[in-house]
Amino acid sequence: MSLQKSLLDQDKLTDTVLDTIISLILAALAIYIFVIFLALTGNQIIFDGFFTNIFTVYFTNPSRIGNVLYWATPLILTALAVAIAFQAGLFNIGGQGQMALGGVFTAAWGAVIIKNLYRSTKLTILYSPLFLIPTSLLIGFIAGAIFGFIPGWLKAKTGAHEVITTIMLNQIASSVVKYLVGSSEYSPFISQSQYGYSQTDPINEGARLGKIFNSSDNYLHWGFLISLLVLLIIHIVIYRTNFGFQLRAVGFNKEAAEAAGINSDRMIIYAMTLSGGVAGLAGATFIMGTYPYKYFVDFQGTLGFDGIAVSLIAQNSPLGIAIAAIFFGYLTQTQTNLSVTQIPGDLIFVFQAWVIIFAVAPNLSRMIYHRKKRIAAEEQEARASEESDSSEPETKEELI
Amino acid sequence: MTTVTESSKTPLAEMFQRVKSNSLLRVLLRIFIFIEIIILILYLTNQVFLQTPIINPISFHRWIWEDILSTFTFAQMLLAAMPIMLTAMGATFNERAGNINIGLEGIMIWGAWTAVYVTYVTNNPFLGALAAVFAGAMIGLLHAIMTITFKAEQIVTGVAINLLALGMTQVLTLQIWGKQFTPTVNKMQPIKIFEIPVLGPILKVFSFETYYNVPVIGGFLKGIPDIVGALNNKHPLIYIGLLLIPLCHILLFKTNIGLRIRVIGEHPQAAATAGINVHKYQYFAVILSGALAGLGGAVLSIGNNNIYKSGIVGGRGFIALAAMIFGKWTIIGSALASMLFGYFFSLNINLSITVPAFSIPPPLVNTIPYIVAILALAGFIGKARPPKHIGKPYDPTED
Repeated sequence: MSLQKSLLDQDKLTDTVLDTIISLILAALAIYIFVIFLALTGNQIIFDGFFTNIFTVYFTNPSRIGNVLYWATPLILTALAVAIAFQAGLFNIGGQGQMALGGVFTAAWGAVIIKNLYRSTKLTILYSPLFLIPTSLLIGFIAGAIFGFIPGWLKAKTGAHEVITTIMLNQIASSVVKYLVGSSEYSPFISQSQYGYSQTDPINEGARLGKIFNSSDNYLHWGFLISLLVLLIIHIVIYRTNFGFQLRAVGFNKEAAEAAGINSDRMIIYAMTLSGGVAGLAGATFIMGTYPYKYFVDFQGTLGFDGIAVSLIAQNSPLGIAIAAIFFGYLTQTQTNLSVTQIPGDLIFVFQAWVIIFAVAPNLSRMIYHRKKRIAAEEQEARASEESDSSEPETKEELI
Repeated sequence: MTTVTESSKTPLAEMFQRVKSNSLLRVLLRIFIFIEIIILILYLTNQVFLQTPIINPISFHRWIWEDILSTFTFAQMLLAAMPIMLTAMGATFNERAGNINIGLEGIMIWGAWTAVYVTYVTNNPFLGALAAVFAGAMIGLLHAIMTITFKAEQIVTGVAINLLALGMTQVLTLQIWGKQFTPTVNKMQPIKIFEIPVLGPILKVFSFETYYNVPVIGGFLKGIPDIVGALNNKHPLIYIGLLLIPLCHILLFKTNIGLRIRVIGEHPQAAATAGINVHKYQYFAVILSGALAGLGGAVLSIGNNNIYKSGIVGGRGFIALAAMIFGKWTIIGSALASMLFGYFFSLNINLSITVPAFSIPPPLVNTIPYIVAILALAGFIGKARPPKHIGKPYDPTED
């Protein structure tokens, strides 16, 4: 459990930064080799504008940087969801489904339910942003939290493995969403106007989060600040409160925590519920801040799954999550950039996979390096130097 | 078996007693109770959507059971269950060796793609299936290197393998064919088992279809599933998969190799003390698991279909993990559980067509296999105990 150990040591910031940089370099190398391999083997994909779209476009068009932050907004929250569960020793893969449900219920609240409420009560406060924005966020949170509570409860009460239950709930969530907005035959929240099926009406203007920069191709909205605020709150809750201490104690050693009088079952349920809720918030802010301000099918893309990678690379530290989310936001925006070219955007998945694989590797290579050092201390020095010469290239980079 | 005498001499005897599997009959009884619970949930959900009139629960019960027992559902079940079953049996091997691999989904994707690619190049679906097995084993090897040698977090590596398979197959499909999906290839031709020389007529004796014209008995036989009839006219991978059930069971539960794999999952330090090379057997189990998952992917792409397109695997790798846990980490149990899931996939299609006044919206009907999986995991069928040392890398310096 190298990850869990390292997240308890908050001092090892430089190590973490070094690890992250090494893993990014290795992943970039891996993708570079793959791209060259593709370019050599065939001519189907034309690599015109590859460098422009992954790099220089961000300097020639500054609004693209705003879009990087725009993509980072949901990623911060989905990564935070994974990190919260991880602190309690749980692994929440359900971010995808929780985010979808958060989005669909926020859209349903802002577009359908609030309209019906207004019709029956005629209260103008219902349409004011002061009421609508907090309630919309809350609805998103609750919707996600329910789908976090279920695996948490099952884990605590029956021992069902949360990885598999959350994966199953992802599938169920996508079906539930299809039911809610899929077809005019049975869906309660579907758009009644000319917009057709698989989407809701646009949400009420009071529930929308405005853009920070008034520019048509810069999508950055105030949800980014909300996500940073949530990041700060969760950080304080996890590291500065009694509740957070109990949560981490359960994650660190469940038996020891129980012996100290902590109700571990309850903490597992709390952690998963909070985790699901934060993932639901990701969906809510996305719907509230993104044109055309309505739910449309698969709006979440792979943002929920990307959150896992972000959290793992950041080793669950809040500052790390912010940085890694911006990096993955850059990857997602690059994927969007590439969509105008012949280059497949799916290349980004391959890149993400290598980032994750190498994100684990530096820890391990360091571990191997330490063991080698121990053996070296025991044996003769001359023989030890021979060994380190024949060690792997990863270890060498670590030494540099 | 020699293994028992060998074990009784060692202090590990108690552990070997514990890893023995449960009896078949009890599992079957639990499945029956489980189906009854599902029918009850279906009835109540249906009534919520229908509102009025209230359907007679007894006739609803009978309609559902008619679908449940129809030969057609069973015939479709085999096709739907086989990819899950092969992967679940593979998962049993690596989990028994103490290794979690949620990258099996990715391995299935990779196997499905490789099978189509090799079949496209060679025009021979059998070579495609072999290539899928090899490709699956290679990805299994990657997982093994990462988790066993480098002691990486096993779930993290699994997530990475899933992403890798998703991205690579999409990019390669675009690179090779210039489209989002592959062209259609030669699929495996179904075998008519009743026309096989010698074996065919013998099997025909056991098929109920032969007696449908006999008075009294014929009418009765039409109401119960014709298992041998359901086996007829399937592609070869189905028969290979069915043959692999006893083979895998013998390998894991009746041989020394299997015994060692199981001991490693329970207590690797003890196994190492007994002179077992822990890493060697873990590598073997994880690679074998990858190979089986690769074959599972091939069943999907060149057995049941003749094309690879994204989303063809659709979470079956994860369902396989659920099936394996449902089957209590045994081969027979995993196979039966996979059959159950495959069965629910095929039942879904039938229910909305054949049951009168069935008014649950299709998306919600599609959740049934997943709800079944969750209920199964939650231990409605009785508590299951995972191998003790699961998910943790074996470090010889510990203890």
